[in-house]
Amino acid sequence: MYKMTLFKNGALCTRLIMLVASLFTSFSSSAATIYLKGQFKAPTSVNHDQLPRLSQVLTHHPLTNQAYRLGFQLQRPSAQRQQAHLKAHVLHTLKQLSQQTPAAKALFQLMQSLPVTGRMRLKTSLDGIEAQPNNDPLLNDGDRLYMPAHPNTVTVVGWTGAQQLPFNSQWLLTDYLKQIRFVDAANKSFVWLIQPDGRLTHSAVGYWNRKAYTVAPGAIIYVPIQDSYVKSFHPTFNKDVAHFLTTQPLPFAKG
Amino acid sequence: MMRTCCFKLGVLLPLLIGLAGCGSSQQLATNLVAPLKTHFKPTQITKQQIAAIPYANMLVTLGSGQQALLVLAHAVGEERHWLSGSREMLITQLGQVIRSTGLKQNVIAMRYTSRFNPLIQGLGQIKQPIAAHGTLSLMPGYRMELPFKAHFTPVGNERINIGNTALVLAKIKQTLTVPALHWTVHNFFWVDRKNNVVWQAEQQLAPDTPRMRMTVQKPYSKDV
Repeated sequence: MYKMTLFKNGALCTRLIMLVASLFTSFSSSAATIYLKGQFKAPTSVNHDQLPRLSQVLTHHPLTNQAYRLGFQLQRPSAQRQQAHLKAHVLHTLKQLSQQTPAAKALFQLMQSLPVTGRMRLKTSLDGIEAQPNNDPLLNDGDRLYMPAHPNTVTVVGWTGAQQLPFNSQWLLTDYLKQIRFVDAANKSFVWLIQPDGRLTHSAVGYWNRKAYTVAPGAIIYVPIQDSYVKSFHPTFNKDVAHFLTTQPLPFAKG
Repeated sequence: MMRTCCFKLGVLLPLLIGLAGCGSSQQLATNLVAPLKTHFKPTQITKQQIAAIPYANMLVTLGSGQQALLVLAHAVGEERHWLSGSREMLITQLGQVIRSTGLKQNVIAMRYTSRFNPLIQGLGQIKQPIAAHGTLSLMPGYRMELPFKAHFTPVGNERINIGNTALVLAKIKQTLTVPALHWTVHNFFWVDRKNNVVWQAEQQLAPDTPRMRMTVQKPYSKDV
């Protein structure tokens, strides 16, 4: 049911005015330097006397026409440590797997080359974020705001070899998978779909269980290894790889 | 150029509330803004209340639902960010919605790739039927970069009453077709040819979104 608030009376009318007024009144007390990268009209670093909300920075720094909002990243240095641990754990497992399956070696090299970004997942889209204080993060000193350019590819990695396919608005996830070759150790029933906004979906793609998944430009499809290869020593391996891939900025590193 | 209307609101708030007269009792349908009177459900916000709000604003009706007042929260470059009291947001560019948030289905990008780009040239420039094309992206569901065709036709001039002001505006019909969604819709815009300001629009943003009627009550001062 669609509805926008009707201003039946004074209280609701006042509520809208206070909402607009509140957009710029949420501050904290520490100074911060925020770095703007990518498709901002003026990529720069900005100093704030008080910790700003994300929306406060975005509102004052317009984007170029090439900006791809769905791929926006808030990168926080303090989040890098945990992601670095995750990457190390994945690399360790891949090293072990490389003796059983040659594809592990290629994935090891790819994963090793990927940056640890500290990406934080946002709970909402950028538009209107200022009207949702609970979803409008308070930025920390040293945070990076990265706005990628509009991509036109979809990347497939994992037990397929890595490749980039042209984005096709008519294609579903399974259409992309038709373009690649699974290696023997690949799980052909499920893949991980990583959308540019960081949303992760464990996607059923076998001919017996497949569902229709749409894919955004810049998405990553991770074709996992069969669980039997890793369940005895790293049962969350595939999920860990997928989670690490959610932190990657666009354009994704070519494998 | 980027500008926001919000910096001084904290200071102005008490005065603003007083000026807006928001504490007055509910009004009758006879106090409706005239263009909406015959087609949509009554609203209880009065012309006087709207006129007293010192910021750009517009009335929006979704489908057969109730009217909402949206206030201009930001003007960022050519974009106008309109915010409702229940936190939906419409982002317009030269009077056309290019993004939305808070609705059941939202446009997250509308991009023209044709030589004629009404988001740059404006609807007020249309004197002859003209075609355009581009892509539309919808959420949720990651329906991205769906190709569309748009055909714009000038229908003629119409007299529209906004508040106490009568305006003669060019009515432009847009026929929007998105083949991937098997969807065609006719949208209408009433635009001032002098400055490209769209004072009124009837448009549907996406197949699962009800038709929307927008009437600017007070435009952004830099636009007029």
